[in-house]
Amino acid sequence: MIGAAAAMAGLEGTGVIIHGASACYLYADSVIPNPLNCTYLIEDEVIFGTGDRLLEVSEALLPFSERIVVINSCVPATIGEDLRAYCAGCESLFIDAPGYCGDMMDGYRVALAALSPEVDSTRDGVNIDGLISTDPFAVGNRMEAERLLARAGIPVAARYCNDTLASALRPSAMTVTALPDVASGIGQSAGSLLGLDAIEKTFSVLQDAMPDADCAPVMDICEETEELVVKVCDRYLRVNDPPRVTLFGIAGYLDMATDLLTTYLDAEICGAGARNQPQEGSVCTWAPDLGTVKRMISSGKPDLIIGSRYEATLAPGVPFVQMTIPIRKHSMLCHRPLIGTEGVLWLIESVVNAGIKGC
Amino acid sequence: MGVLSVSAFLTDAVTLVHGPDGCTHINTSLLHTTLSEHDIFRIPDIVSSGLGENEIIFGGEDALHDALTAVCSDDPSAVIVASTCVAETIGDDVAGICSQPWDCPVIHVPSSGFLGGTFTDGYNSALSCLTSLITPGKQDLNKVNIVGEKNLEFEVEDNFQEVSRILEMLGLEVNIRYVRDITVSDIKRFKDAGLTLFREDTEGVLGRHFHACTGIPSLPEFPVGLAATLAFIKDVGRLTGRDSTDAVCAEEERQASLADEFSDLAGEYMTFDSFGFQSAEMEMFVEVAEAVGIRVSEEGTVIPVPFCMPVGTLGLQRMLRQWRRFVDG
Repeated sequence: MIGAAAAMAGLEGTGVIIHGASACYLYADSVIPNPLNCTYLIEDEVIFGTGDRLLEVSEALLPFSERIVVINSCVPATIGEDLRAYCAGCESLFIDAPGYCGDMMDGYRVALAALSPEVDSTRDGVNIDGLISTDPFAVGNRMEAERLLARAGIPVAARYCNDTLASALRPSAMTVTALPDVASGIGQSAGSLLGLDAIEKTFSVLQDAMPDADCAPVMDICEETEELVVKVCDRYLRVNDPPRVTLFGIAGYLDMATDLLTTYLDAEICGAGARNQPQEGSVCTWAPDLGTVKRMISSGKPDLIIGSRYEATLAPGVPFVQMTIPIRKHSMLCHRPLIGTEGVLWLIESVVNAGIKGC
Repeated sequence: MGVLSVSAFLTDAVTLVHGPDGCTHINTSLLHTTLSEHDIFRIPDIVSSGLGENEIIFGGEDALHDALTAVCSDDPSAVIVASTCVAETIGDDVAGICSQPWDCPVIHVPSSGFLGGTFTDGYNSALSCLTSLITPGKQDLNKVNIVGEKNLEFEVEDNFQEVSRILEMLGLEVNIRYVRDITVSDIKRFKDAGLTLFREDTEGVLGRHFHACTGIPSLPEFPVGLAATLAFIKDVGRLTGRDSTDAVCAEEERQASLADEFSDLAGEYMTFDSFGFQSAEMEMFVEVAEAVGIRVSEEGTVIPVPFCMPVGTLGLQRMLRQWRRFVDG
C-alpha cells in the first residue's frame, strides 16, 4: 500500500485516496512527501459498505485532480466491494495493494503496472525510473541522473515517479534506472546508475542507441571519480585496518555499497540485510524484521554499520552511516544522491569519516 | 497501537502482532518515532505472524501458531498477542490458539485495528488482560499502584514525579507502575499495595475491572486543577487510613505561592482556544486564571488548551509559565 501510494502521489495531477483506516494513512503520510487523502474507514463502513465514504472523499478531491487514484488497503481489498460507482462520476484508477500481498517495492510496481503508460516513440530523451519518494535519496538521485544525462546532451523524458501525470503517461522509448529494486519495466532499459561500472555500461548503451549524444564527458567524470575514491581509500588504509561492515537497507543500494567497499577499501562484509526481497544475483539476504537484524549484528560483530536508526539503536557506539529510513533524531535536508558519481563519492566519504573522532 | 503503548513497556515480554508484516512495521515505526522524541532509544520486542495472501484466503491460524512456537522458543517471560483489522475480518480464532498450552504465559488482547475500537479501547484492553498475571499478595496500606500511565505522553515522567511527591507527603511509596518499564514478575506484586491510582479512568472502565480482580480501592485519575489536587490528597489519605491535614496545608501554601510567582500576569486578559480533542470550557482554566488574577475575556491573548492536562500543582506551574510565554510573545 505504501509503495503504491508513493508511486501515484509522486505524479502531479493525481488525487490519491488511501481507502482504509487512519493508521494506514498516518504512516503513509509520514514517509511520503506528496499529498495523500484517506477515507478513514471505521467498523460500520466495513459492515455496511465503504462506498459512501469513498464518494464523499472523491467528490471533495475531484476539483483538484486530473485523475482519482484509489488504493485499497488490507480490509477493503479483502471484502472486495465493486466501488466504481462511488468515484464522483469520473473514471478512477483502482489499485489493490493490501499489505499482505507484498512489500513496498511490490506495491510500487503494481501501481505503475495499473497506470500502464504507453511509450510515445516520437518523444525525445530518456526516462528515469526507480525514484520512489519514501527513499530519502530519491530527489538527490533524480537530480544526479538529470545532471549526468545533461552532460551527455540527452534530454530527460518521464520520471517515475517524480513528474506530472501527463508526462508519466507518455514515456519515451529508452529508460535508465536509479534504483533497480523499483524498476517499472517501462521503456527499454539502458541499465542503472548505481556504481561506477553500471554508469559506464549504461552510458555506453545510450551512446550506441543515441548517435547524437556525447557520453564522453560522463566517462571522464567516472574516471575522475574513481581517482578520488582510490586516493582517499588508500590514505584510509595506510592507518586503518579494512572495515568489517554490516549493511541494511534496500538490496540494490547494498549491492552497490558492498561492491564499492570491497573493491576500494578491502572491506569484510559481515552481512548485508535487505529490507526487500533481493533480486537474483544479489549479495544480500532478506532481513525483514528486527530479530534478524539483531542476529546479523550480533554474529557479525561489525566495526561499521550502514543502515537506519534501528540498527544504530541496536548497536550503540558502533560507527554508523545512515543509508535508509527511519532517520529520526538526525535531519536530512540536502538532496544527496546514492546513484551516479556523486552517490559513489558520498558513500565513500561517509564511510571513511564515520569513525573519526575530534576535529 | 493502543495495545502496543502498554505491552511495549513490559520489558521482558514479547508482543506478537497477528497480521501482515506491514502492520507490525507501521506500528513499530510510529512507536519508535514517538519514543525517540522522548529520548527513549530502545526498540521493543515486537514480532509479526507475517500473514500473506495465502493465509488471508485459507486462514491465518497456522501462521499464528508457528509464530507463537518460534517466539516461545526464545523463552520470554510472556507473550502478548494482538490481532489486526484483516485478521479479525477473516475471523481467525486468535483466542483459541492463545489458550492452548504454551511454555510461557500467552495473553491474548482483543484488538482489531480499526474494527471495533479506538486507541483507548486497545489500551484499556491491554491493561485489563495483563491482570491475569497478578498473583495473591498481602495488602500494605503504605504502598500505592500507579495504573495506566500514558506511555506516549511527553510529560509522563514529570507527571509521575508529581504524583510521587504528593504520595511522599503522606508517607506512601509506589508499589508498581502498571505498565511502565516493569517486568512480568513485577506485575505479580500488584496485590501488595493498598491503593490503586489510575492515570485517567473517568468512566470507570478500568476501575470496575481492577476492583473485581484485586479488591484494592482506587482513585480514577491524576489530579488536575488547584482544588482537585487538594481533594486528591484528602482522598488518598482517607483511602489509606492516614491524616492528610498537614499535607493539605503544605499544598495550599505551595499553591498560594503560585500567585506570587506569576504576579506579573495579574490583570492580563486571556481567552482559551480548544486544541485537538480538548475543551476550552474546562473549569480548571478559569480556576487557575482567577487564582493568579488573570481576567478571562474574548479580547485577551489566545491561549491554546494543552493536549494533555497539567497534573498537580507542578503541572499548573508549568502551564502558567507557558501562558506567560504567550503573553510575552
